[in-house]
Formats: sequence, structure tokens, C-alpha cells
Amino acid sequence: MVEGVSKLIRSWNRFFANFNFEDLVNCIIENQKSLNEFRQREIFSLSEIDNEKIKGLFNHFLNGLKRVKDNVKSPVSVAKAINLLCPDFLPLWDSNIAIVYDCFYFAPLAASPYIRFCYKTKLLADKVKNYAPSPDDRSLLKRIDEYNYSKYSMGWIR
Amino acid sequence: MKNNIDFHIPNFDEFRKGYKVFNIWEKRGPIYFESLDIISNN
Repeated sequence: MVEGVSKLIRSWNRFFANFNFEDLVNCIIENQKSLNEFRQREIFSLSEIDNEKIKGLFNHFLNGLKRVKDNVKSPVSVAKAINLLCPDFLPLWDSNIAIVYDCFYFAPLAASPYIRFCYKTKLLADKVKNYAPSPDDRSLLKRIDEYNYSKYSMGWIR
Repeated sequence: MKNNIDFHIPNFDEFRKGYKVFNIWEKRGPIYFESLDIISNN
């Protein structure tokens, strides 16, 4: 499981590839209960009772994936990891996307903006749920990230 | 949490164009599925 997360982060977010593998293992073990729960859910079921759990999960991963050489933390890496583990419930983002959705963050304090982003993604998912292929080989949240990345991160579409 | 929509909502064509372009131009895309497979198999 850790290898899957590690592979994605090392290839997608290479500036933050130098995290401690053992810290990530411990992070997943410590959060196994929340991860198992969220893995079974879709974002449409998100409600305020989840806020503290998501916040705790996000902060654990923020610490677990910090860069070894300078302890810098990456909210982008965190979203990549937790989305991979809970693909229908926790969305992907990057700094460009966060800004457009008015969820700008400072890395050490990114959990609250991420929760806000989750609620916005829930609203967006409801609007675009019929726009993705059906059946699809990936989650709706992955499709939303592909759209967001093309439009806001890369400017590939206008 | 507020349920205000204060961001752009794409129509069908724009959304479809976005994810299609991603899958044409983003060369690292397959890594996501390889990673997902590793997790699913563990």
C-alpha cells in the first residue's frame, strides 16, 4: 500500500519525493480506521461530522510526507496520497486549483482550506456527475481533477 | 459548511474537453492507475 502512494508522489511531485518511507508507513497504520471508512464512501456523503477526522488525517499525512532535508510539507502530496487511498471521497488539488476555488493555503495550515475544498468539490461533483463517461474506469473525483488540472493548472482549455 | 457555489461550473462540453485533453497531453497519467493497482492488491 505504501509503495503505491510512494510511487505516485515520487513521480508526480518530485520536489517532495524525498520523504521518510517509515513515517508514511506509520501514518497509514495510525489512520487505518479512518482510511478504511473513507475508502468505502463517496464524496456525496460528506458532512460536518467528518470535518475533524479529515483534518486529523490530513495533518498526519502532512507530517508523514514532509521533505526529509528541510521538513517542508506539501499539501499537494497529501491530497495525492489520501485520494489514492480513498478515491471516491477525498479530492485532489494543487496550489493553482486551490486558489481558483478560494481555498488558498499555507502548507502547515492547509487542513482547513482542504476541508473547504472538499465541500466545494462535493457541490461540483453533484453538478458534473452525469458528464463523466458511464461506466468509467476511474472515480468522479479523478475526472474532476483532470478537468481542474487542464483548465487551471495547465491552461490547456479556456 | 456553506453550500454557496462561488466557483465556475463547467457545462458538459467544457468538462469533457478538460478530461480528454488531460488524457492526451499529460504523460504521467498512467502512474495514477499503476499506484491504484498496487494499493488495491494490498
